[in-house]
Amino acid sequence: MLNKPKKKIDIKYIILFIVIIIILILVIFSFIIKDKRKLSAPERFIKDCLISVENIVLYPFRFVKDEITEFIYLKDVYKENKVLKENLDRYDLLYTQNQELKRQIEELKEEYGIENILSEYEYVKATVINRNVAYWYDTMTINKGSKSGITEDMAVITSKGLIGKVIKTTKNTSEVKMITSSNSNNKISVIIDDVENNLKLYGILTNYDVKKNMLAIEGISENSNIKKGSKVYTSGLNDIFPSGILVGEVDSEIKDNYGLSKIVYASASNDMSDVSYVSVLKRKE
Amino acid sequence: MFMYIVTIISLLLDLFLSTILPIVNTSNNFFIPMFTIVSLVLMYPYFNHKQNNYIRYAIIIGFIYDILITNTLLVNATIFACLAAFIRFLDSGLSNNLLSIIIKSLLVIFVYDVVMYLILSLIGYINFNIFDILFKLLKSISLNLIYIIVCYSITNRIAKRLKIKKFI
Repeated sequence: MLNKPKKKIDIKYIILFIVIIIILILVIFSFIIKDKRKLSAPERFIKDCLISVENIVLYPFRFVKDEITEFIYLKDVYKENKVLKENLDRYDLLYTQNQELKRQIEELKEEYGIENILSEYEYVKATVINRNVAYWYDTMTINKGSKSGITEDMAVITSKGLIGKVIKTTKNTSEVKMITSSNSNNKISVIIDDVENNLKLYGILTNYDVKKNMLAIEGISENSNIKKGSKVYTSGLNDIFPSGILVGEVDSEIKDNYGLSKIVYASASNDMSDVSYVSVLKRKE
Repeated sequence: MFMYIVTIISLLLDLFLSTILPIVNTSNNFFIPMFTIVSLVLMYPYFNHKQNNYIRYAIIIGFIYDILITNTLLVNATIFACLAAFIRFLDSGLSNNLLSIIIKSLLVIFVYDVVMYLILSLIGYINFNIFDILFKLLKSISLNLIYIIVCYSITNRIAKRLKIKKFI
């Protein structure tokens, strides 16, 4: 029997085949890596199981870490106590004013038939259990999930201000995308409160400028002059974040590429590298 | 089983250190743990040229990495499988002493960072900036270098004690 000579495949077909495979893989990855992709049921189950094992194994180490952190913070307790005592006198007054404002809001809501306003929300406290060391460090996992009433697009804050929003949930955990992410799809509606010039300007927080280490807010009117140090808050207009959450402080401004509006750079109110305990805001429905 | 245990410990260390070290793009932190990827290189000699077992091990670890850390499905499993093939290629030219393991580990970390960055830039997840990736590569060296040396010494001793064969 004669052996058939083996056909040699032309190298250009091999290269074409490899390029097609790479393109197909990239297309599949673009669907998988999207923030909006919901985790499937098996993924959620496996993740909850793995996180439970992780929590059990790492519990002693986290306990020691927390004790050491508390010991380090102990030296600041005296100073903090002094500041808190000074503020205590104002607490009663602020509490009374707050109750009066709440009463007036309820009356106005009843009069105008409004059910909820943009600044009403409930808190769900959570702990950061790990950070994403792979994808440019812009997400973290917290230990509360759908069982605690958390859903996608809820705002996540600390006492200092906005951290980010929930993008994925399982029963016991949630993934939080931070506002310092360099992802260009991370847009938040904000308001800049320039108290000195009596200005309130609306803009869109579009991304995080890694070179300047600042949040970039676009769509600000070209004619306005904003004072450095003005506070930036969420506006509540995009139906995701409640209004009034501190985002940062204005640092500088430049004209955009077309000269039609300004880009305002703001420093984030939170130190994103030191976040252990967070609150998830649930808007009242 | 020994290889899986070492890699799982590396993964847990990654997760634990991620909550201690300031791992955000806003900080100039030069200690970025990538111990799971380092363990892929360290454990290759213990597979004694059983390539199918090694690829299967890389895919399983990649899958766990996907579910636990990145919340993606099969992305890291695919990349870890490619890294396994790359490690196999490097092993054909380099031995398995400490210096070679250090060189291989750093190369594999660099390749992983670059491939991941290119994928994320091509699909539009992040904006491409050459300085970001160069800075990231620089940040990935110091802590992982220390881990390579420590883990190599410890795994060598344990393997000798347990009489686990290792390809040199």
